[in-house]
Amino acid sequence: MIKLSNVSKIYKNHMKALNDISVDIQEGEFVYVVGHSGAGKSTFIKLLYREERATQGHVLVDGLDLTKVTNRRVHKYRRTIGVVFQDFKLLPNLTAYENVAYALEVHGEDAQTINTKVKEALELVGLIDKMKQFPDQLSGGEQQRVAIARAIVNKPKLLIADEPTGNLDPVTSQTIMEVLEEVNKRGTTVVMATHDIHLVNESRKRTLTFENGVIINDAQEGGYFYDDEVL
Amino acid sequence: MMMKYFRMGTRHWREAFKGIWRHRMLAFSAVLSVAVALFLTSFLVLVVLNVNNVTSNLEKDIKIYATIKKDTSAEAIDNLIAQTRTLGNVAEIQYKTADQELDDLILSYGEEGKIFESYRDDNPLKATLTFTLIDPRDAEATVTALTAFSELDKIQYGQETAENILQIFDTVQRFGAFVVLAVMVVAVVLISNTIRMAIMARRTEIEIMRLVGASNFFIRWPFILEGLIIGILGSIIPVGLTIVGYTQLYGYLTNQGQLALVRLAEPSEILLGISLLTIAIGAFVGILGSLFSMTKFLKK
Repeated sequence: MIKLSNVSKIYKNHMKALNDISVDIQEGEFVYVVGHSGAGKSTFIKLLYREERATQGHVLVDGLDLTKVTNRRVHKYRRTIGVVFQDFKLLPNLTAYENVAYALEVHGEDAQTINTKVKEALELVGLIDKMKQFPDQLSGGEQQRVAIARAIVNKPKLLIADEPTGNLDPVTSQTIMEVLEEVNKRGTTVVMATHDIHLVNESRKRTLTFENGVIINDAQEGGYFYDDEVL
Repeated sequence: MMMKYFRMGTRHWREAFKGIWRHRMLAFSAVLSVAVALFLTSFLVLVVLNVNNVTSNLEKDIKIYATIKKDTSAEAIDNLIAQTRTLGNVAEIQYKTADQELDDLILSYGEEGKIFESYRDDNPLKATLTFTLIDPRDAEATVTALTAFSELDKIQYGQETAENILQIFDTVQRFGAFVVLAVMVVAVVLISNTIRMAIMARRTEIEIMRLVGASNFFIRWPFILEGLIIGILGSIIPVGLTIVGYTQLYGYLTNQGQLALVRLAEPSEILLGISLLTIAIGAFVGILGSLFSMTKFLKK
């Protein structure tokens, strides 16, 4: 599903964020990406949704080389994936339903298809009852679930989550994890960057640990690589 | 596929109107700025058009007057008329005998002109030829050609006056065009700023649009339409003012009987054109303003 070969990323300010990393992620996997701040995990995530382009090497997602996708064409790729962020990125003036529908509207889907798909996605994240509420009427966890519904409404093969539980308390984080695991069970590959040591240790999944722009550990059986608990 | 484009088109228009409504004060000030800029533009275009009108009237009035030497035989005058008619730039020749010239002189002085009757027996005036030209701009060349005819005495046309007036009008036109251009640039900058603010206010939305796979065109269309709407709304006010103002002015001048001095172009002849031009400029300026902002702020 994802194949990075000798990928380096150097920003314009000459900062080397990634240094010659190579990794394969199979279809249907759930992978954690962990590391200290500035270790390179955010850059890795950004390469996956083609917000950034690798300076060297190749980033292949489902056979498509993202280093060759131009800015004009990037929207076509984004339609095949879902992305979730720590700050939810919901539009405050739209209801939960409308926020999810938004992802389909921009593709020009008709009202009936939108209605069916949006309800299906909201059902999956358990928010069908609150679909008419605006983001400020929802809790943090609920807002993140709306964001997940928006990310999966197109049934993407890959879901990229950048610290999705970063703003949430442990109990709410657990419900978000349950939703993401459910999405994964239905066949979507999930790559999730996180700082949350408890989540990583509790639900054992493959874990990539980044440090100074390289992957210092690829634990297939999961678990936190660092001894310290503060990252 | 058609339905999809129709749906998206409807959405873009809806978003554009929503965007304007959301930032209505900003949009209102942009509309006003465009209105002022376009009013100045249409005013200046009107001035330029009327200067053209007056200039072409003036050019039509440029004629060459030549007196014929005394004692020229009637046959020689006929020959002279026939030959000068073959000059390239001559459209029409009017011949007046010395007696007709005296009649004209007496008439032009009204009652007091009668004192010239005493010259009837010994008329000091000469017969004249008046040449109407095909292209008044070539008057000087025609004058040069006429000097070759020995029967002609004095050849003149109001060259200095005509040239001076034409030069003034030319300057007015150039200056007008410059001001119109400057005002247009200001209008583009104003719209560009408004759209920039609209883009800034919606940058989260744009970021989300990008993330969920909206194409650049999809993101840009509502802003282009927003600029277009502001441009067109801004052009409606000056179009209205110009139509009402010009028609009133034309009516006033016609009633005052001053048309002989300032001959304004007929409203029906120019107002439709100028209105369409103003709206087109408004639309163009609106789109241009949007494009400027978008190139700057929607690079990715």
